[in-house]
Amino acid sequence: MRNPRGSVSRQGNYAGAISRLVAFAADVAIAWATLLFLVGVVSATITFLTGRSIDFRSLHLLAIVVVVVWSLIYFSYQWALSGKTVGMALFGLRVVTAEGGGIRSRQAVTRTLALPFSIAIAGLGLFGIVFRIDHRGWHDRLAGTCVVYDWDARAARLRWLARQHDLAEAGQSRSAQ
Amino acid sequence: MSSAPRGFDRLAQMIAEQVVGRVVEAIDIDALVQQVDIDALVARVDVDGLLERVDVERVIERIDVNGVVARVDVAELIDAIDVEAIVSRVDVQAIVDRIDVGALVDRIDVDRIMDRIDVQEIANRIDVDALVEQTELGSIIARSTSGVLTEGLDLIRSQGVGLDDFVNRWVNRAMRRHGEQPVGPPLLIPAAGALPASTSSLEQAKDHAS
Repeated sequence: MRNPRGSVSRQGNYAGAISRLVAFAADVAIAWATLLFLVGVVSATITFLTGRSIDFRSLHLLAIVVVVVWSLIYFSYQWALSGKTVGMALFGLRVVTAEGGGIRSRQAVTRTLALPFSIAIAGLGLFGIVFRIDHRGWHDRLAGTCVVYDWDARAARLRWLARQHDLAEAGQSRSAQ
Repeated sequence: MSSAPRGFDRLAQMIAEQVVGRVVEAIDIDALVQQVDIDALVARVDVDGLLERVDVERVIERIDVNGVVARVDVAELIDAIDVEAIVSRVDVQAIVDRIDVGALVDRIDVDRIMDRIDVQEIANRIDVDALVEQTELGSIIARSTSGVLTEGLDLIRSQGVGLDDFVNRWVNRAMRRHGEQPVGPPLLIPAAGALPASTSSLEQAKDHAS
């Protein structure tokens, strides 16, 4: 019989580098997919209204501005709204203040603006996520934030145990038949 | 004049002694006692008056209570008491019927009792895993919370946590971190939640993932 204290809930613990990296990759993919969808909608609307198609690939400067602005909106809006992006929600992560409280809009924007600098200088700003105890990168320290696990591992374990219980019962009923 | 009466008295004394001796020898004491009505005799005794004349305080003062108690064999006294017989004669139901349970309960300060109970400690002692595994509670949880999406998310997150712990363990070794480390922000994780740097929950995450 397993000790119930063995399955410690990870809710509120500092999130590790792998979960954060995968969540960020998911966010980048989602942000790009959403941006491409929006660009497609805008392009189709313009074509429909004017009868002329626009080739966005030739508008490099505009494309860069759109990507930057969209990224800023995508990350800062979601962080300010709930402390998590779609990718972070998928991997059960949440941004909180260094003390553990909910972050403010200003912190969300600061974190978004600082994130490129953490990545830009050979990823030096991200080393803290791997090597610091609190797993905070430059952008976290600048914004006064940190990332924690937002999902209850214990609840997940109970769900898993419940499924095993159901499977065992189904097996017993089959063998009885 | 005086010598004659003195001789007479001596003679009378000798005769009386002889007579009394013979009379006493002739008396059947048992027959005499049987003829005495003791009840009538006792009835004539004024016991109350007799007791009033007794100085009870003085009598009590003269009694050596410690000496009396010391001579009592308490163990033997207790052995001689048939407790079972006494208890069997007690009408417990009648006693219980006379107790006003409502009034008794009203006098209990439930809040004070609850304050003294460490609910967290009780919760910690519950083997939730066994509870879920062995009772219908598991099925209820499964039906209410399980879904393909939930299962998928649990799996992905568990894998992520497992890999995080794997990396953390190696980083802690490389940086020679020992002792307890804060595992989360102070508002979310109290200081007591700190874990040793070498502690890994990879096994737990594997449990979840499996």
